[in-house]
Amino acid sequence: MDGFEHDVIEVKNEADLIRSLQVKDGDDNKDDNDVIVVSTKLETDERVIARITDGIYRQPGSALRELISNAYDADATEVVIKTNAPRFDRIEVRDNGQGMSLETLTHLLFHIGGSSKRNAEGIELGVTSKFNSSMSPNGRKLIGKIGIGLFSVSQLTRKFQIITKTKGSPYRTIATVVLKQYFDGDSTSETGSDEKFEAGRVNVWRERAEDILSHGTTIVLNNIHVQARDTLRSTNIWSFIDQEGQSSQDLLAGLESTKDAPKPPKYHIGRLDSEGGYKGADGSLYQVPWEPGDQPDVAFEKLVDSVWCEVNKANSNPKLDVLFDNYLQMIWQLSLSVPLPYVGGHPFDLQLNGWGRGFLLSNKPRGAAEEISLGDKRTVRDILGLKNPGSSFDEFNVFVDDLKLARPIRFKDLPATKTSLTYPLLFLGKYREEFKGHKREFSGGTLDFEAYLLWTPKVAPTEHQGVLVRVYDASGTLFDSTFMRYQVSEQTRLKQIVCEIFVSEGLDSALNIDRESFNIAHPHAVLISRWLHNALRQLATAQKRLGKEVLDRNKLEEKGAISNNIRQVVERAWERRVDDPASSPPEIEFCNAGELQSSLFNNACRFELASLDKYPKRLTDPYKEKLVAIAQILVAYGMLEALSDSHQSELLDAVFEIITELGE
Amino acid sequence: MSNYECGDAAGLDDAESEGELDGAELVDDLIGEYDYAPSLPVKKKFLPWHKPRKQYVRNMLWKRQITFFLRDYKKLKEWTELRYLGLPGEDFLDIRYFHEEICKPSKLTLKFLGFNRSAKNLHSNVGNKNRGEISQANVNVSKHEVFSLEYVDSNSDVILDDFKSIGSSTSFAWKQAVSFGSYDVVNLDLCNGFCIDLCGSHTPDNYDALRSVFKLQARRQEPWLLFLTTKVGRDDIHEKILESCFESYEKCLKECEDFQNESAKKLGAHSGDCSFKESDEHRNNAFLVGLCGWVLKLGLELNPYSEVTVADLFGYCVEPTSGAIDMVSLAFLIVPTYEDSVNVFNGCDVSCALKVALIDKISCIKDVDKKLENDRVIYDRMVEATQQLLKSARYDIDGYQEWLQE
Repeated sequence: MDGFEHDVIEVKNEADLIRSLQVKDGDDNKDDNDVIVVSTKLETDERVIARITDGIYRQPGSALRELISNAYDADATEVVIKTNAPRFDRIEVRDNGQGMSLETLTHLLFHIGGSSKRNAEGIELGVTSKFNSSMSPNGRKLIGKIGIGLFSVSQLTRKFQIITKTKGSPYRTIATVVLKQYFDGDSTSETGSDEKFEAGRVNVWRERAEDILSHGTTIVLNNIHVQARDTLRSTNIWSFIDQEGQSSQDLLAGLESTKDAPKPPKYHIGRLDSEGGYKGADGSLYQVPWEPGDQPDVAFEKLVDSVWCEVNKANSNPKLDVLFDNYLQMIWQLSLSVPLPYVGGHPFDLQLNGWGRGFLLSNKPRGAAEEISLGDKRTVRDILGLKNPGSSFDEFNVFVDDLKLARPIRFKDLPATKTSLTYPLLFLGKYREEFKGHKREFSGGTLDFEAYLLWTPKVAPTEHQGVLVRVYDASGTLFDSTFMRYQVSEQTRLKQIVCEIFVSEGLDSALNIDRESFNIAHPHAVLISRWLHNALRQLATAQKRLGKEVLDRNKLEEKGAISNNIRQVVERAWERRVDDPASSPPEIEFCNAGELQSSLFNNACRFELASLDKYPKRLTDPYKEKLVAIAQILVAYGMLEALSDSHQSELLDAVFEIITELGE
Repeated sequence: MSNYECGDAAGLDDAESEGELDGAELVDDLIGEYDYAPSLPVKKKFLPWHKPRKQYVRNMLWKRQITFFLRDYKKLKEWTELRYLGLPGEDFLDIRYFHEEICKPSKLTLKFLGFNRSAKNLHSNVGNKNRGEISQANVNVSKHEVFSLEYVDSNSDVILDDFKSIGSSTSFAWKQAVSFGSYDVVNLDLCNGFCIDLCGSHTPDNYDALRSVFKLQARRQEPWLLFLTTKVGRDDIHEKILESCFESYEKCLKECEDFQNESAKKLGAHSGDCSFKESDEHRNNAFLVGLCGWVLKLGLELNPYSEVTVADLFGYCVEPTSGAIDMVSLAFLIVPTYEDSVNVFNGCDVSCALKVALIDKISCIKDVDKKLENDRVIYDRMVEATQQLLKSARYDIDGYQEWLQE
């Protein structure tokens, strides 16, 4: 246990490394436990070094996303990630995929930053299907680029370990890697060569395995970079809270200021002090929406529900960056990015009857969405022959710490608001362009996709407002709230739309290297954007028509009842500000301080009035009616959205005091 | 023996700072020099807990008690998984053993949480080798092996922390242990003395840690097993603790007639016997009555209280100069009740009746060395089983027999 006397052989190239370790296979006289360690320098070209120095990913989570993608491409049915949160000093990613042979691992290490997938080399190394280099051995469409994905760990650490085994092999292959640190202008390397740079060093060895049939790969990232660790620990948020909290205390002590100290995110994983213990008083060390001992899938559902529950609090537009710390946001983004089933089922598996109304989008430039009959009891998938997700969800489970990830988008039991249209609308479409008569190098090959646009009065979290494009069910782009630069001014309506486009063929070549953005000039990106804008137009037309029908019917029914001038003032203001005939001002309720309780799926905006205790009898008409009207106008002009719940209540409480004073 | 203390041989005592970072650490990380050398594999050598007697303890204490447990409480629930808290060391021998001997035959998923502090500090150097990194690299390979076992739950985990830290309710270890839920089996397989330090000498200490285990298990409705392996040689128990055990024993002898009778009859220890403290055997007995009494008390302090019984007790000798039992492996069965603890325990001492029962158990301690010495067939079986276990953990077993002879 305390000896380090293993033989270490220094080699210079890929072939020598493989040869040195393969000797064992045929050498029966060799001691099983006599581990040979092969050590070598990793060399790469300037292009890859530039990626190291520039950093191609925006967030630490991107590296995890790439490693999950690699596991998916290796036909894993399970990926387990342990982040050691909130320490984040080491991260482990374990999968039960095909694993890598000595040759594959060696090739990967010697070509770090490149991709051996999607070409003949991938077939030769056995990392892709024998018949199609864009498919995994078991027939999944590849979503990652293995060398790039592994290389993404440089975002998180300089030191990592790979342990891998293929089915049938009597060995595990282990590599410990250390990447060299490069600085701007330091890429001339010690080799003196203009072409190759030392990217790092690696030790590779093999260990005898008794579990011949097992397979999979584990990557352990050690010594996580301080910068990445701080991001995951939400150090920026906590530092701000500490500083502002102290300032606020000083103010309170000196000036009796009522300035609010900033609060931690509602849900967070806590933070550690310099001794390694959780910081803070008992009970507030960490605040997550799930319970200790919850099954991972249950825990994740609770995480998703925690966002939906916010919707029903007073006029709240739940934002992930307010509700969650960086870690929980990363979890959310990962669950949106990788091929996973939806928390409450796929939108294509909805039955419209009893849910809402569905439309088939036209692909014609001036086409109109055609309504699907409510009498049809089949799912929209069956009605329209939609295929997504195909087999990409088959047995792919991703666990991150306590959670089993699922796509955090719900389609059932959507929270409603006081709009004329009380049900959601689902617009579905599909598109295929084969570019017949055009060369593939210009067209990028066939483009094929399916899509849905969900209109719902309230989208939660607000980060889901927009379009998310998935290529083979994976996405690094998250939701684009501009809807691919949609130029039409539809501010209210666009905030009520969630759209996902499932590309089953094409677009892959339009993805930039970080897989978090597209080349917008690529023919496929242009076509998707045009299709989307056409779909948005159809949605707006249909939704306006339906809304108007409902509103007219309601007005007819309520004729005579709306005689109140105040109500008409509010309605006029609402119409001026909210370009949506289907909507109407929200219902407003008031309660005493401390009595504000959210109830899921309650339509009303609720506010606490601190003065209500003092003047309980004042909240009667006409004061109440006026206060409701003022609140509705503030909502119409978006004035309350910008405020926290407590500030909203404070504002209305002040107005309440003023108008009731005037009344006396 | 898988043990967090044994893994500490390289002296990993300076904990890495885990809190917020100062600017210097960031700058060091960004541009500072670092160890530009990838880790090497560990060269494995046989260690004291690789002897056949340990396999006997695994078989005849751990496996046997878990088998009884699953049999006796099968009416309580349908056991589909075995939830285990342990100290698996770098080789995960206990995990491998329980998988093969309990989980695989019974088709039970093994969900474990382990503590191993030997691999924690990546910057701990021995000579010019990074011992922490090498240890961690070995742990990673062991984990890869056990996670490929059929009945190991993939959400099991090992925390690179000292088990003692579970004793603090603000610790990372405590939070992880709580998040995991509760445990059917807790196995504190130490290779030093549980009572080597005085209570309160470190924060948290072994006593805090075991108290915390009872606290986190308090929410559990089903019974559970606690295995505790500890050295009991004179140098492995703090002097004051030993003294207090003697005093307590004497007190019981004076105040409790049943205890006096049982002690005389089964342990040959009488009140006022001066040789009492000098004899290894009697010292062990007094200490075990004290230690077991304290564990019983931990159960009684819960509200509602848990009944704790010593299910079995094995002893053996690990120090060549010792000549007597200096290591014990205990199995406790803890059964939650629904009764207020005030009714049975007044907060002062474990009742006489319970201590009398302890004497009965302690008198039946099984001397593993004697058993193996007298039964060659069993000895050979244990050697064979140990070799298999070590082989699965990548040990070169060709030299095993030779090592045993040495």
